[in-house]
Amino acid sequence: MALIRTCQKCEVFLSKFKEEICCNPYTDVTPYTQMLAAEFRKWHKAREKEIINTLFLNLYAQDVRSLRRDLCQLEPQKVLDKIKAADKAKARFPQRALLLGRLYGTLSLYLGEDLSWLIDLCERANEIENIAYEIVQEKYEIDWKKYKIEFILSDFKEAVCAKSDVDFNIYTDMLVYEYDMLETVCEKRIFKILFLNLYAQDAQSLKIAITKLNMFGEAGVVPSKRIELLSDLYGALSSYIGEDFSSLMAMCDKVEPFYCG
Amino acid sequence: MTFKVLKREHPGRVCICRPHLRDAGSGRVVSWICLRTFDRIDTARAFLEHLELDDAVLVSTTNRITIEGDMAARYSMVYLGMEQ
Repeated sequence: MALIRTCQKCEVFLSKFKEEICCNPYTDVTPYTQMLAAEFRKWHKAREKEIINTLFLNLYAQDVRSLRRDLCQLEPQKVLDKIKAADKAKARFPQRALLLGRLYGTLSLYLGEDLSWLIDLCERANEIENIAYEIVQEKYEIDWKKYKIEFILSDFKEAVCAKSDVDFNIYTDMLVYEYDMLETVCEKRIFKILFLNLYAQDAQSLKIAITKLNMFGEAGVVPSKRIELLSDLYGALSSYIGEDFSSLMAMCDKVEPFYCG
Repeated sequence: MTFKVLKREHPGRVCICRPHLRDAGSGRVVSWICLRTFDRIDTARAFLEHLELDDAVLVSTTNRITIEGDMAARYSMVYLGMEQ
């Protein structure tokens, strides 16, 4: 569904751009590159929220009422202070193996069953500066993408100038492909941050956790444990969520009729 | 999030917020936890009642919301966070 929407929006952009080129063949491509990059940024942010929402929803096994209640009670500052005070990742997130077990469904949905790259990531976590650089680079992925978008639009402009009834599909596909690549980066970045926070520099524990995940699959969690896991998940992803739970709560309201009748 | 961030993240919306951090001296809320955002104040007000939270309040990122009666007395400090 999201992909269809992306396709349609790209077509709208190209159609507007085409109209302008037909009026003025010297139309500057830059404003359209910027508009499209801004749109990519918007879609990327929405995708990020969707993944994070899915993680929280899965943690609570679609029990949206309890999730909403616990989110309303969550004290972000306390969680972050506790994380700051602990010296090792294990002490920061004592329930991390259980948390991953509970999130297995979402993890395998986005990452497949081969999680070996995560072990590699944690082993490389000693080169913390490189990892941090990688993550910053991914954060600015859309800025790098601008060159590709500009290239596609320039190519499109040339094609329209040569033949006004040019076929949109090939350019829409190219734009959608770029967005698709961006989505993959976005997914991996969220999970990278989640795993690095939970297991940074502790590749051995991560290996054990991933082996257990592959062997036992999703873990059931008793409701009383969920609130601790909620704190851990929030703590690991706080760089995305901050003190803004509005997207999570909106998701709860949206899916409540489906899960709670 | 500070009121400035709230305005940037949810422009033109009515937010249901809980106090996050307060100034130690004045008790004024300096940072909020945003729970939910709405287009309309009446929808936000209805949802706030549904949440049954003691410390949650409505914060408008565009206009001052008039608060009357008991609510105004209870949250006068919190409402300083709103645009005047």
